[in-house]
Amino acid sequence: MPQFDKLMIDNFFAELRSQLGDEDNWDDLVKDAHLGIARSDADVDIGDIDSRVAALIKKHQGS
Amino acid sequence: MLKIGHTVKVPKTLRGPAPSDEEEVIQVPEELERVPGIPMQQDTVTFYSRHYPVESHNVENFVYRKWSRQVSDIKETRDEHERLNKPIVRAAAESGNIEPTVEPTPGKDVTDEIKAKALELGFAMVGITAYDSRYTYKSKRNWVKPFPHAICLAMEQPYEETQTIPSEPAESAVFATYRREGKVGLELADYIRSLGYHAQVHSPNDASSVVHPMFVQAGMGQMGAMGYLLSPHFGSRHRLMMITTDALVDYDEPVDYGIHAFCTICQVCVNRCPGRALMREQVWWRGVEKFKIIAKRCRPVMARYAACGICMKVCPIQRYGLQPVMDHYASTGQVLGKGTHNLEGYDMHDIGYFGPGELPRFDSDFFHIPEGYADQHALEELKARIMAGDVPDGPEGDKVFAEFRARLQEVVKGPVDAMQAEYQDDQDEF
Repeated sequence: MPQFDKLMIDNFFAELRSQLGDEDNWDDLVKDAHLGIARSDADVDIGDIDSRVAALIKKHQGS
Repeated sequence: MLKIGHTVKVPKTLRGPAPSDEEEVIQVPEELERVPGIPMQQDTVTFYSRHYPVESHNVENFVYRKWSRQVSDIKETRDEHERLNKPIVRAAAESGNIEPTVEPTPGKDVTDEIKAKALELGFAMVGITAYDSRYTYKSKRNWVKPFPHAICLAMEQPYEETQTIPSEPAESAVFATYRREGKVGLELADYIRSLGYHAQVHSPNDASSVVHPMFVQAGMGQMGAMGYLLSPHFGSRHRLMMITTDALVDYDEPVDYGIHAFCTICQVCVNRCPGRALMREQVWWRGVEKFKIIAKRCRPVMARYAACGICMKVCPIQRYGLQPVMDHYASTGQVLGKGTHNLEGYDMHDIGYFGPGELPRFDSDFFHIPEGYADQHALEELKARIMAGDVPDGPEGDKVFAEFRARLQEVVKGPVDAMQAEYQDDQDEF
């Protein structure tokens, strides 16, 4: 799988905000997103992060 | 999988104002084990403090602070912060003179009460150790009260904004964090007085001392390659302040989180610093083994790019937390995020985006900025004009010397501290 480049990162966070930006735990979701992308880039298990964030990472990683 | 040398259970007092019940355990690989806290030669620290005492940046780099206020790309934001922050800094400056409101309960240890109150007020971390006067700034020695204990406090700065460094929103968040912790620091001091003890608030914006050694001694983190304290839960994403007191308290102990050695391997901040201001190797400096930043290459960037902080943004411990970073290193031998756009990329407003392996280039003039004590700088400017043939014999030269004399008189009669100079005007003495 390719690593996230700048365009992928910008698109990912734009979609994350549009989907989950109103959530009370938005700050935690952003932290999960950064951790998930790092693990995805390292090609290791994405780990115990919010499932909606994980699904979005997988979607963008394959785009 | 690397062999684990020891584990560290991160206490709730270091995990934010409302920590979860889930344990946070750091697995430190054997190869990253060094010493609790930081390698230190006590005699050398003492020698330097006696014969070459530390001094506040606001004093020894008076002219830089004045210059940086003028060239800042976020000048309006910074000016507004200084306006809002001034009364908070002033209150801290007077806090050591306020007497306790009651008699203390004899023999009652108030450590837990103070720590609980600090978290209740919104501090992200609190630890307690001895106040080490060897780190008191020369110009603050008469200000610091002889209270023996240091309550080390950290306020988390917002996560999302921090990842946009260098930017106005990120620095606005830093300013807001400083004001918030300044205010609640004053409240915590009031609380300590209500227990019957004295409390002096050392403002994070008008620092009295180098506080980092005390935070390390209190087990709140270890020094990172970029010169910040790196804590296990927040990395460098916090702002530090201290309250000294004579309350009856227990001390925390320094911890080896593996950070001292990890930074020698990671090096992301060293690789990504736009000013090339960070060193790859640790050196012995004033009695401690640490990474010494080259301030002359750091400050010119800080002044012009929203106080920079790229070294904070690209630190994997800041971005992901120490636990996942150490777990990843232990299982793969790799630094989580290293070499990726997500961790290492940054935008600089007028020169564009820089991904992994890419750095901006600045010409040598970019790094020539005003620096030093105010009187030294006035003399250096006069010398430069003489060298340039700009001070001829006769009336024109006399005029230059008269300007120099007037400027020197202004400097000698004014405050030696740039912050106090800013805060002082005719109607409003600092």
